[in-house]
Amino acid sequence: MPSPEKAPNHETADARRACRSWHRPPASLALSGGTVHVWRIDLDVPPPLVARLHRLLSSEEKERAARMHAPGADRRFVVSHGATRAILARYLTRPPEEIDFLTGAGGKPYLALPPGPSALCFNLSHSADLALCAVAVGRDLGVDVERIRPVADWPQIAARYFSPNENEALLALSDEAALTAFFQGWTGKEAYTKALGRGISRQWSQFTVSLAPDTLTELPPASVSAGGKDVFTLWPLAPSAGYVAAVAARGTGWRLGCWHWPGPGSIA
Amino acid sequence: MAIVKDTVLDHIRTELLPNKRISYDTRLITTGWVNSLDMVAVKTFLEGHYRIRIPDEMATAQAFDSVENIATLLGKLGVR
Repeated sequence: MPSPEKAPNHETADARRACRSWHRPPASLALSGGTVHVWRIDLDVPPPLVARLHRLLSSEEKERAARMHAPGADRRFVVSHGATRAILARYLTRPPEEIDFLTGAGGKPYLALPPGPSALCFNLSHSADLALCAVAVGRDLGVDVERIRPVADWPQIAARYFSPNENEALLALSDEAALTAFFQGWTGKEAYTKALGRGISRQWSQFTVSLAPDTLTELPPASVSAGGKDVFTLWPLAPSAGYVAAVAARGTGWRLGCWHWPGPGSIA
Repeated sequence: MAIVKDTVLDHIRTELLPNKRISYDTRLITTGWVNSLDMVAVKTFLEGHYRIRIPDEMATAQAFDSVENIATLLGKLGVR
């Protein structure tokens, strides 16, 4: 078991800008190996768009959507997964309905394409009426978004899943700021473990992420026991008022582009 | 076991899904009611309330997908 260790953090003006700037994408958008794109998807869209996106889904996805009984959950599932297909289709230059997915051992979906340094990687997260889809080339990545909301027992959750350094940082904040920082830390840890293809565990308390909304975290190899062999970089994101998010991707020094879906040229 | 189910159901109705029609067999995760953080919040409540530790490997989405499933999980850990 690695001992709790404060990860090296650094803060830059570029990071602060990138975390908050979401742009309409150009009709043609290239993705280089040194860049990670994150797409913000509004899930509260008109029924005609929901219907068009539903037609992009596979039969299995349609069955999953039909099982969603919580109010609005079927719409959110259809829009997040349909939009993800539309986004991936931009990079793959193939029809969105012809994209095939596989599921990894940890339940993480990936594209059914030959692996390699040029393989397109993606990850999807949604909370309430917002989804984020992160995309990179040949780079493991994970994304998580959460609507900031009251959570019973969140200090107890932090005590179990956050590191001593993170808990110390939370204690120094006012109640409202601490709840936001808790969500920032939670999304960072979940994005990182999603990038590794793993799940939530008590090993989360063995690594530290920044709880600030504008500070990058470099996570050293094996920040989670038996986890990654490579350094990952974690970017906090501010996708919309009332939400926090984070994206983690293998390596350091990659650039971040944040886009709003749909944009010009989007399929739906 | 009925008391355990009612304790779990009351907590979910009170803290996670107020004013929602939730019963013992309502699917919570696969039908979109709760997400991973909500699941961890329920797990943390149960660990504190029953003074138990639910191992990570037992804390699956399947095990937390309904009050019935959660009660079965608790039963395996000696909670009656």
